Amino acid sequence: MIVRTSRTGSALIEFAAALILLSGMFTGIFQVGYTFFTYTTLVNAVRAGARYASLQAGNSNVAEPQFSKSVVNMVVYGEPRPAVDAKPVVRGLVPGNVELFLGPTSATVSVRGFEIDAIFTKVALAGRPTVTFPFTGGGAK
Amino acid sequence: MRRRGQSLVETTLILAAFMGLILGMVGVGQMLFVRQALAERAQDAARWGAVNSYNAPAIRNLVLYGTATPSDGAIAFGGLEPSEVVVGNPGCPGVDCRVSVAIPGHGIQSTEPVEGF
Repeated sequence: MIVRTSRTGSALIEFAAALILLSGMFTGIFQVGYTFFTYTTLVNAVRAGARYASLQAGNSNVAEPQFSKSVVNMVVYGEPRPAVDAKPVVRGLVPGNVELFLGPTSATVSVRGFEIDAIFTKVALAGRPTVTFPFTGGGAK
Repeated sequence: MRRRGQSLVETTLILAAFMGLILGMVGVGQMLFVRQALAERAQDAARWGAVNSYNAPAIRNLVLYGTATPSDGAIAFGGLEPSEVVVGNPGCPGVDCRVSVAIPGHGIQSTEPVEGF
């Protein structure tokens, strides 16, 4: 009968098991936290853009290309006419990700085709966030 | 095989690693908290500036002290210096009039459109 009394490897095995569990747990916490944080930032950015559009729509310049450009800049950079070296509010967000739809009485701003890059995974957003604001007529009236 | 003292060594190793981890989490949390608080202050100040008649020092005071008219010796939030808060009203007067509050050192930029132009 063979009795194994060697214990030298058990610590290593235990360490490996704990490491797998713990690193998985911390990675998960990071992913959820970062994704949630980024999503909230996106919601705020889209909201700011929609609000800008709803206020400016009272002006005569709605049809101008600069108008939609300003709205998109408001979402991506937090400023309608950003500096050349301005950074986007969310890492990786580009003007092409923002969609502006102007209805007869409201403005809708959405983020399209954007993935939140949480380093260990990428979270695709299915057309969210989307915000619709009615025109307030705050422009030249 | 000598095992006396081994648990002490192991405890020290684990404690060092875990302390680093925990302190790192506290540090990142603290950083995020300050950033978020400053972003909120910048947004509130820009909103105030857009609603009231434009007054750059008052807007800056809102970011620094949380009030437009701080008392003497008021302490700025997070040790922020007045020069770190950039206040402007680009496009004014005009259809694109807006109030801009930025804290470049913290990567914060907030813009509020002014109604009524």
